[in-house]
Amino acid sequence: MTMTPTQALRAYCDAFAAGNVAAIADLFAPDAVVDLPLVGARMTGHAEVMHEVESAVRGLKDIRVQIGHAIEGENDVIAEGAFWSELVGAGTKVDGTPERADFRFVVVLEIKDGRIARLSEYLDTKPVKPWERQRIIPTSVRRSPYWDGSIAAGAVEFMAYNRTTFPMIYSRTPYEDYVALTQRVTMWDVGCERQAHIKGPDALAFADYLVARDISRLAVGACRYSFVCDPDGQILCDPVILRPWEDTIWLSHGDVDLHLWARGLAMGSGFDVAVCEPDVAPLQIQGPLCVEMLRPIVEGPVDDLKFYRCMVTKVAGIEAVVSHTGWSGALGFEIYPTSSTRAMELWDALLEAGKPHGLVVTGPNVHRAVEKNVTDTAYFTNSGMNPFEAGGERLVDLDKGDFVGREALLKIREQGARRQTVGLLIEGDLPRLEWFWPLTDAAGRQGTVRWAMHSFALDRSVGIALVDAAVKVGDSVEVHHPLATVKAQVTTLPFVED
Amino acid sequence: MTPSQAIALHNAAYESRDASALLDALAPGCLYEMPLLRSRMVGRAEIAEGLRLALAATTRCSLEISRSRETDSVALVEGVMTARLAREGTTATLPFAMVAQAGESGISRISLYLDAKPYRLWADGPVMAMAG
Repeated sequence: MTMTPTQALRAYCDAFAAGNVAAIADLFAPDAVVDLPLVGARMTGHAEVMHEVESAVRGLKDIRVQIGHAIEGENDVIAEGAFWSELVGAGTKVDGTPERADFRFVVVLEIKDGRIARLSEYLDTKPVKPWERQRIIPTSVRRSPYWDGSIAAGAVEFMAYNRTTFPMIYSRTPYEDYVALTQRVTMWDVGCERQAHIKGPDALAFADYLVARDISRLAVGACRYSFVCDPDGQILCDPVILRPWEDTIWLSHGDVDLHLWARGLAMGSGFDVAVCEPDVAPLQIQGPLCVEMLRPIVEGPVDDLKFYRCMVTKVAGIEAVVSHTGWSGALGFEIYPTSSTRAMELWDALLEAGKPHGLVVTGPNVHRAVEKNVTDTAYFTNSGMNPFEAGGERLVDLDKGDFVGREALLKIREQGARRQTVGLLIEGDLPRLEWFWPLTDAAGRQGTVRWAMHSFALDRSVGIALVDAAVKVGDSVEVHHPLATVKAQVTTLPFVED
Repeated sequence: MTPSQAIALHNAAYESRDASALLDALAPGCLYEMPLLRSRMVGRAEIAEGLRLALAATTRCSLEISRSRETDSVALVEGVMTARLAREGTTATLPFAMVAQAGESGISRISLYLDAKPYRLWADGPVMAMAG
C-alpha cells in the first residue's frame, strides 16, 4: 500500500497508541533511521528501530496521541502534536500521583518507497523522565511512625537516618520554611531520632562512662548535650542526654547504632543496667510560637520547663516525655511519646493545636542550623573528628574519671588538636552540598567543607569547615565546589547569635 | 508578517544578540516556548526577560534551518542550534524543531522543541556545569 507522509504519520501514531507493534513494524523501511530523544541515540535499521519501539510501547499504557499542525511536502511531513501516557511498572509517586509521560512534540517523517525512511521527534525529555519508580523496598530503613503525616504534608525527599525514614524536604521554597521556623512554629518528623535506653540501678554511672561530659550529677528531669567517642577519641555521635525517670537515661542520638554500642559495652562490664532501643519516636516543635501552641495540649507546665529540662507528662492524652531542646538553636521542644502506637493520633492533635499559630510541617532547617552552628556528627562521615576539633572542648571532662575514649582524648589535648572547626563566608551562590567539598588555604593546607548553605539572615553563602589548626580567623581560603573554585574568608561561629 | 519571517526574526535575535526587532513584531499576548527557559512566556515583557536571560547565558549562538514547511498561518522547521555557553565556555549543539504562527497582528506564537535536559539556563546549575 502506498501512503502519503501524513497517512504514514497517522498510521504510526494510531498503531503506537494501540500498542500494535506488528503494525508499526510494517510501516518502517529496512534501513529506516529514527531519532527519539527519550531513547537518547539515533536508531538505524529495522531491527534496532523495532527493538526500541517495542520497548517504548510495552513501557507505557493508556497512550493517546494528538496531531495538530501538519504540513506535508512531497516525501515528508512536519507536524506538531501532543502525547499522553502512563508508565507501566513505575507504581505511583509516594503521594499516589501516577507516573506519567506527557509531552508535546514536533515530528519530522520522511517516506521512501511507501515506507517510513526517517522519523525524528523533538521534545524536552526532562519533565518526562520518571523521578520515582517501584524498586526493592528499603528493608534496612524503617518507616517513621509519622510517615503518613509527612506524605500528607508534602514531603518529597527523605534521608535514611538511624535506619529510619527522615523527611527532609517539603515542596515549598526554603525561605517559606525559614520564616515558619524563625517567626511562627514548625513540626518536624524526627522519628529517626532514636533513644539508647539505659535502665537500672547503674544507669547514670554507665551513661557517664559512655559520654565525654561529666553527667554523674545529672538530676531527674535534666538534659545535657555531650559527645560519645570511641576508644580513639573519634566522635561517634553527639546526643542529648535525658534523665526522665530516676533509673532511666536516654541518649537521644544521631546517625549511629548507639544502643548496640552501649549494649555491647554493658555486657560483662559489671554495670547493673539493661540497654535497648525503645519504641520512642520523637517530634520536634520548634519556633517562637511553640509554647503558645503546646500550652493547651501538654498536661505539664510547659511554660515553666527551662532550657535543657524534661518532664514526663501527657500530650493530647498520650504519655510522653517533653524536653525543652531541639535542633533549631532557638525556642523549641521535643516530644517523645513512650510508644508509637498512637503516633498519628499525636501528630494530628499537634497539627490541630498548631493551626491557630500557623504551624508548618517541615524538615530540619539546615539554613538556620548552620547560621546558629547547630550541627550533627555521624561516625561514618565525621572525618575522624574528635571533640577538640569539633569545637567541643568545654564538653570534655577529662578529670571526671574513666570513660570511653579518655586516654586518647588526654593525648590529643596534650599534643594539641591538628584541626579545628571554623565558619566560612563563601563567595557567590552555592550548589547543593551532596558530599563534603575540599578546601585549601594559601599555604596549600587541606580542609573539608562539611556544611554549606545560603544564610537568609546574612543574605549570603556560609559554611562550616574542618581546617588545619594553623588557619586563623580572617584568612582567605579556596573552596572547591562542583561548579567552581571560589574564595571564602574564615570566621568565627555561630554566624548568628540571637 | 508571515510565519517564516517570524522564524527569521527569532533566529536573528539570537545571532545578533539583539531581540528588539523580534519584540517589536510580537502580537499582544504572544506565546513563546523555549525549553531552556523552562516556563512558557506570554506577552512582550515576559518574552523580553526570557530572551535577555537566554542571551546572557550564551556568548554566541546560531540557528541553522535544515528543513522548513509553511502555510499562510504556521511554519514548522527543523534545524540545529549551536550555542557557546557563557559560564562553561563550552559549545552546546542542540537539534531543534520550531513552530511559528503569525498574521496581520504580528507573531502570535513561537515554540521551540529541543531536549534541554543537560542545558538548563538556571535552576539546575550542577547539571549544566557537567554538560560538555
